[in-house]
Amino acid sequence: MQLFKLFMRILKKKLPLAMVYVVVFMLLCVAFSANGDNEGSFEESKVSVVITDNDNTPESKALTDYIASRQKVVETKIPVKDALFYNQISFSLTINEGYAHRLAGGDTEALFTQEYVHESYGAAYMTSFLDEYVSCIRAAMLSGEDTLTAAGSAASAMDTAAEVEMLSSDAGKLTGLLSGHGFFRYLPYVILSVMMMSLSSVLISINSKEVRYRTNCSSVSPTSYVMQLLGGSVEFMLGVWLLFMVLGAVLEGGFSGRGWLQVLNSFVFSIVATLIAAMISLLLRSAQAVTLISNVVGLAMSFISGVFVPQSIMNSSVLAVGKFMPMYWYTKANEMIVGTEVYHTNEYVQCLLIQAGFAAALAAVTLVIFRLKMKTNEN
Amino acid sequence: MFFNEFKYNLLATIRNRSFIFWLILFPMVLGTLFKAAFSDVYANDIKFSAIPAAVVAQKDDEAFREVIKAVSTGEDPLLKVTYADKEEAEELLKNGKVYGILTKGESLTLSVGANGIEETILKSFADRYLTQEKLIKDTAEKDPSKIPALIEVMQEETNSLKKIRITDGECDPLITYFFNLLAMVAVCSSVTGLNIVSNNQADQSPLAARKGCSPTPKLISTLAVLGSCWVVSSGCTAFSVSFLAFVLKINFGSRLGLVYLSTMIGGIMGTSMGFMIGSLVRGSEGRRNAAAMLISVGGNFLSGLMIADIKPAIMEKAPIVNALNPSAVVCDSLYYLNLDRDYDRYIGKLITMLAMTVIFTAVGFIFTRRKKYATL
Amino acid sequence: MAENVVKIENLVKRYGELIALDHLDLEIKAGEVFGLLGPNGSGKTTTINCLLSLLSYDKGSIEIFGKKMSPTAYDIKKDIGIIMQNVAVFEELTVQENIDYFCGLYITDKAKRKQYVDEAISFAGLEDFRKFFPKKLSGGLLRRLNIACGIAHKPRLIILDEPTVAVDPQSRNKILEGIEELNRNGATIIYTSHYMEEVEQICTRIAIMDKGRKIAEGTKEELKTMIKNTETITVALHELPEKVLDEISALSHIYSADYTDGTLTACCSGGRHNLIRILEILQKNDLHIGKVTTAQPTLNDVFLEITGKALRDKED
Repeated sequence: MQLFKLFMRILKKKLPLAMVYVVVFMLLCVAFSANGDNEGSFEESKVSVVITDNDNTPESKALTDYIASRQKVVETKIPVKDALFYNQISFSLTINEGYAHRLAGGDTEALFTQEYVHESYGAAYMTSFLDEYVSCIRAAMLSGEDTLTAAGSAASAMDTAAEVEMLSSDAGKLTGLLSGHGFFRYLPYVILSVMMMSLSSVLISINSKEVRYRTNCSSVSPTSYVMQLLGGSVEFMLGVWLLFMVLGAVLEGGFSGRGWLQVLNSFVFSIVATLIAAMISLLLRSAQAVTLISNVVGLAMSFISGVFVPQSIMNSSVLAVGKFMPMYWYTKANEMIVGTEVYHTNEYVQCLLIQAGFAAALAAVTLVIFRLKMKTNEN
Repeated sequence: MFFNEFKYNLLATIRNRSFIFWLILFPMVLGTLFKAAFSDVYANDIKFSAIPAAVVAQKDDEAFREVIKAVSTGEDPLLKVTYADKEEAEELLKNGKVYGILTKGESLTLSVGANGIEETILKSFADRYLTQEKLIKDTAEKDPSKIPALIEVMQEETNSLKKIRITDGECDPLITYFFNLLAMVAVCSSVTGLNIVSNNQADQSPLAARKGCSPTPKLISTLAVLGSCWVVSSGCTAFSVSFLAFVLKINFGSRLGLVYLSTMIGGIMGTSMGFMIGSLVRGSEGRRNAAAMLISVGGNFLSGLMIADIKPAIMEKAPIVNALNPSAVVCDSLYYLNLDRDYDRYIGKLITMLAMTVIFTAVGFIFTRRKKYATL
Repeated sequence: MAENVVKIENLVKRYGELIALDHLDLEIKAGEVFGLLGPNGSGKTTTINCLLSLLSYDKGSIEIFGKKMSPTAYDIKKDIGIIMQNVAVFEELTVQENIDYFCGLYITDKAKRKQYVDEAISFAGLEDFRKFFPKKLSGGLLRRLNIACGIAHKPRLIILDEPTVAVDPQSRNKILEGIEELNRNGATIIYTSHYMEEVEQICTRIAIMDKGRKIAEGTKEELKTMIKNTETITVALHELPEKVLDEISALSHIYSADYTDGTLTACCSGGRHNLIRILEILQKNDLHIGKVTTAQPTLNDVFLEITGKALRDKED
């Protein structure tokens, strides 16, 4: 157990640095969680609209008020162009000067101007909405109403609602590009990054050429060497994982029911993450290379496994590649637990088993590569 | 003296392939990944296209079929319609082939499987149909003679909305992932600048001690080393732009030269940031690496590399953070270049990058100027 | 009297509580090979680093070539060559590139530099290794590269700080010969080492340091006359009765005699025929005599006698 002890001793020295990583990634975790949206029950989507009223008449006011009652009228501090691009707003509407006057005269050409960046669903919806509004006013005016009264009639006519029935669908719902599911969704990225960054500094110094040569000459077998280091790493992981679970409990307001399934899922994944981190640190020598690789591996795996962008909207061939990533199975299990996908206990257990399989495979591969490296006596 | 130092440091940095390799490799890996993962997203999920819907209606309901025909044909159809019976339609919905089922019986009803903008548009169509039906009914009760006029008004194209596209750029919001990727390369270039100080400061390495004994003034030798790192990092960023633009065929617009310019300046800024970090963070290489990596990852997070939504939120709620975050500055310069027709905002970001470069470099120099050391 | 190349006066350097240099005075004249001898931690390297203005010091003054040394005294620095204890070369540059780089810090004229680099390469015997990277060089070659990098610009003052640590005997001889050659070509040399044989071999004047103080200074002959020991005689014997040992101790000029592990060690101070007189006594007592040696005092003896401890640690 000499190496295990050595690991702990060096870890103790490097702990402040490791804790810096833990704290920073915890902050990142809080930021991620704060970004998660709240998916409610079935309701009509509202389009966020920015309105510029250049007409400033009772008629244009009536329109503005009506839009406000049906859609989300917003103001934006950033330029409209940027807000449109980043989908902060879906529609930028300008009520042109002369709106009331021309509407009264029956001229409907270019009453409004829309500034747009791309053709979105929200924009298509608003276009149809405005079109309908104008048609309804014109219809009401046929019966002799003035424009302002007609606007009121149009609004009440448009409030006729169709009956909507909700059918269940297995296809899963499109949760949108940017929705999140709180703490556990982004956890695998965070855990993997923390483990890679903090473990690497400990393992690299243990595994430095001179020390390793000396150890190689001793009676410690390579199997025992690797296993003791992996054991130490997992023990360190336990501590980090517990810290994150405490944070998770605070953010999520405690765990209950299926929440515990997420905890278990994250535990299994943490083991896998630790082994990935250990493998990279044991096989590479330069601290700089390890930090860069950690960055790439963490981000690439997270993207490919649907941590950042939901699995449901990704290209299916990319997802097929994702299946070779343990993080994919973590995310799949998590999506079942939060209800994006239908939950089946046996599939959940399957996800855990696959992750455990990855853990075993990683340990074996690390060992094999390590022995090979020693045989070829490569630096 | 300057040139000698410059030349050999450039040579040494280039030969020290490990991190250059990674600096070049990771935008390739992540870029390819983004490209593959997002290639269909914009067309499928962001850009509007006709919404698939199933229609269950009587064969002889000519009026309704006429309306459906009007909205599902033409230049910009709203719906993509499949006629089916009730069971077939439900099957289609279940399999995700359609977003909703429009059933025309006594009234028009909508069945959906989920809750989203597509379903909302289907609902608005149904609402509109019912509104018109109601208007006609009301008119029929009050004054049947007005019905032809009413139908004409209802069917007439209003052309009430004039659409103005306010950009010529790529409007797929996912392109920001590539902007962010380039910003990440630029900021991660800080690793090239991290060791300038330790390589040039006598208390940090024997090599530096040897240099310290030479008659080449430290300012000149440090500048030369920094200059060679600038060349390396701007080379790496330029390579990344080339890879994204020509291999992955990412559409950076017609002003590709300026894309190169701002990412290369971004790389130089990143290197100078590394130089500054190296001069401020004493102690082991691990600590400097950690500082550089945390600043990079944090900056990338705030500029939306991981979650694109973070960016507009920061722009709105903490504009100062967005203005000072190096990766956001690089990202914004590319974004403005894409979105704007003029150069005002782009030039603003370029100036910010240059100013940051000057400040980082100056701070770096201020903290390295000490020439004698208490311990070696 | 030759001019002073280096003049250190009253130099004090503290690391917190520890006094690394304790009122050190040194004068080194042009053309000398000056040896700075002392055990590990005696302050040799600290002296060198202060001399080069790499380290700050608490008190005292340093002059080189008659001018005050400072970090920006570039006109002084251009005439100094420095070879550090640790090998300081770029891993990423070849032998030739490394030498050219370091030479370029001093010499801006390209043609002149090219000639100097070639000369340094042949001086260090690295002709066959021009394109090699330092990683591929053996320990001895690496040390030679380290030296070549320091002397390529033909400095007037060359400072070598333990340049032969961990070098095989052949390379070491080659290095020492090189240093003597540099000296013949007009350079003043400061050489620090804890190998007294090297210092004895090449240095014209030696200062011995311990605990940050200079405890002796002079030519090696002068140093040796500072101690009473002139000769040490050892004789291997199976047995030595107490009585006989007393008889030997009583001889004039012999100030200490000791019998341990089958060896008689007798230290003499002056006098002649000390060995013969000892052997006579042994023969008279009918003792079987084994191997006999006699040795002149070494710097180690000088050091041992002045400080009461060996110059080098046992394991060195």
